[in-house]
Amino acid sequence: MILGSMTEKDYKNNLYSSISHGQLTELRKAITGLDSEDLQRLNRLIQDPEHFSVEISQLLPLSIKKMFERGEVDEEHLRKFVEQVLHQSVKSDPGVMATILFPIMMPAIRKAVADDIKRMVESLNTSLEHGFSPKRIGWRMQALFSGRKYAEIVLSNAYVFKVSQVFLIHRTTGLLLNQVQEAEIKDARDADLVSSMLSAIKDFVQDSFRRDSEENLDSIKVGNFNIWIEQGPYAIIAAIVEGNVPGSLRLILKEAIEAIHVNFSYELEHFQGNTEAFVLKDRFLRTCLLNEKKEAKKKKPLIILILAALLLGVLGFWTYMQVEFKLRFNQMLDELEATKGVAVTGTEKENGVYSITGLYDPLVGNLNNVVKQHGFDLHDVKLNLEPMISLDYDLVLLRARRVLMPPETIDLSLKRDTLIAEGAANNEWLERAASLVLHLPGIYFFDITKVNEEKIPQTPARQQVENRILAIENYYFVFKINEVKLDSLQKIDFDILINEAKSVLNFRFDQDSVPVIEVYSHTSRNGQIDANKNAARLRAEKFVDLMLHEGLPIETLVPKVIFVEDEKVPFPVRSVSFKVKYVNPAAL
Amino acid sequence: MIKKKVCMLGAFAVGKTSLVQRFVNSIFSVKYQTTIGVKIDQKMISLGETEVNLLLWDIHGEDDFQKVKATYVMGASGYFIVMDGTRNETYQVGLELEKLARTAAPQAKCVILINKSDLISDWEITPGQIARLMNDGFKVIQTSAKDNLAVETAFTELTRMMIK
Repeated sequence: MILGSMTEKDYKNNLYSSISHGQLTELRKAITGLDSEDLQRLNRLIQDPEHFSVEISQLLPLSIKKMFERGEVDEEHLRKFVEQVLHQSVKSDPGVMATILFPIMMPAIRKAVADDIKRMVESLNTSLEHGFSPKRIGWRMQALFSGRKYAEIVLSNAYVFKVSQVFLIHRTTGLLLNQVQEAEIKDARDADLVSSMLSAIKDFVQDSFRRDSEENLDSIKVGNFNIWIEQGPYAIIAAIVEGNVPGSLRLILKEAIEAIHVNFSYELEHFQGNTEAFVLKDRFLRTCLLNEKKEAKKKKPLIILILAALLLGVLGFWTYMQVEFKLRFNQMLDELEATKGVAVTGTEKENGVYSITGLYDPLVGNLNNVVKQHGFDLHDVKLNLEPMISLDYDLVLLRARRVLMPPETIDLSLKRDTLIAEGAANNEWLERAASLVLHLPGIYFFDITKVNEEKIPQTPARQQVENRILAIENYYFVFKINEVKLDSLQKIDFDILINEAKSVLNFRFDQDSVPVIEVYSHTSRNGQIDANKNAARLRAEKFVDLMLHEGLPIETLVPKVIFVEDEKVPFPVRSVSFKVKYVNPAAL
Repeated sequence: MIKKKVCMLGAFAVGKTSLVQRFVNSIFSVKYQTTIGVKIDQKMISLGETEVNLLLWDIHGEDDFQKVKATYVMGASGYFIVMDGTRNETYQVGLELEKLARTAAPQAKCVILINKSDLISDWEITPGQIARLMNDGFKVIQTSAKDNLAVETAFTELTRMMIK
């Protein structure tokens, strides 16, 4: 090059020095079209990134707008980008995003939480209103027996409500856009007035008590019903609600007002007083006309009332009967216990049948009569008394009279363990009495010092036999179930009986008749009659066997069965008694 | 059917409630009862083929203790500014309320009523003041609720203006 050894720097310096500043400026402008001010600006843009960014920022919105217009960028591109950025930001430091969102989120969260708490309190109030009432106890019982959760039953019962009318009100004018009501409400002419008045009240409340623009009047309580208000930007829904309203109604109202705003956005925004469009489409309001009916209390039919009264009457009568029965039973027990020769050891009730257990001396007679005298059925009260020999004064004396059969001229008395005979008797009676008396329990001595032996004539043989027959017919023996076994005391009576029987059987009043002894086995119709009859027959036959063993002729003994229910003066069940009859010998 | 919200505005005791009662129920009572808050009435009015349901917001009269709330006027399609011809101070109050109403409901139509025309000999509001109002573009009607003078006309006129 011509410059030879000149450096590039030297060359530039020489060039600049050979051209004046003004010429250089002109030259630069001619080449680039930029003056020095523009160049300085460009230089600053390159040198200073901050300044560059400021410049770019002014262009960016326009640039993006243009890109949108040209279709080079669409919302989808931006959305993805924004999402990625947000995601990255949250991932790296969630605090930043939280700080950014705080002013927006907090009022929203606060409102949501307040709404929920309010709903919860409403629900709680509803439950508490029914707190300790019989209704609540009823619900608990229902839960217990149905297996359903108690809360479920509370909800199903507590939330009984009715939305009777729903108003759609234009927010700014307070004019009624539409209203729906349940079928029962015929006259809704004043709906316009109600709507305007509600609007006025809302305005007044908001104007007078407003602390926060977010706070709105959301309910008014008037007597038994509430007016629930849900506000949208252009319209308000006001629902007239009666009863215990579930919090979920609020959500339904919110959804309705939102749907109305979506579907009538134009009409609402440009509302000029024409309500036709809203009246024609009222389905959104109709969704708010909810009700939950409590199952109507059915009128108690007369028959049920009568039945209830009858039941009460029966219950009262049953109680009275029970008390009366108990009193009678106790009186009967007292009488039994007071009876000489009876010892009651206990009572028990089994399958509705009272059983009295204890001991008794058969000489006291048929105790079933005592049971009957107190008005008891023998099916209801049974005497399970075991026989015994009582040493009671009266019974010892009675037994002595029955066994010794004193003539009318003899008077028997008892002093401690000595039987005293007074009066007149023949030698025959005295001998017989002396032989028997010491077998009698409770008697150890027989005092006959006061008996005049000679004055009494011999008793005719016929009379003696008749006395013996009476004695035989006074005897009876009570046995346990399915057992014919004489105990030691019965054995004494049995021996006497055999002696008497032999004497009677050996005597004939005439030639045309012979004596027989009918052996009666006593049983009852209680239980299985056939089984009872069979057992009684066996008892009679076994007793006859015992008598046969003692030498009585078989043809003179006739076993028989008799039911105590058929007897005028009944003997005890499971007893054996005797009757002497004279029959034609041919009949034997 | 078209519905319109109409507000009655004015100083206290100018006869707003009386005008509404005369218009709606055709009655007039000499007994004065102050309005507390708002009382709302409605009246159906027919203009040709158009039926208009007027929701009349009878707003309490303004005095030193009770100022009219702008929220009551918001959304109104029309309003009456009622003045008492016998009390000049109601003229100024009326004008102030008109300003408030115009701010709260810029699109609403306005009719100024000079009431108590049955007592016109006692009027303090001068014809000059009335002329000034008319010069300012207001529709002005002289009414008497007591004698039922121009009451129906006033409401009909405002309705006509509203649905124009």
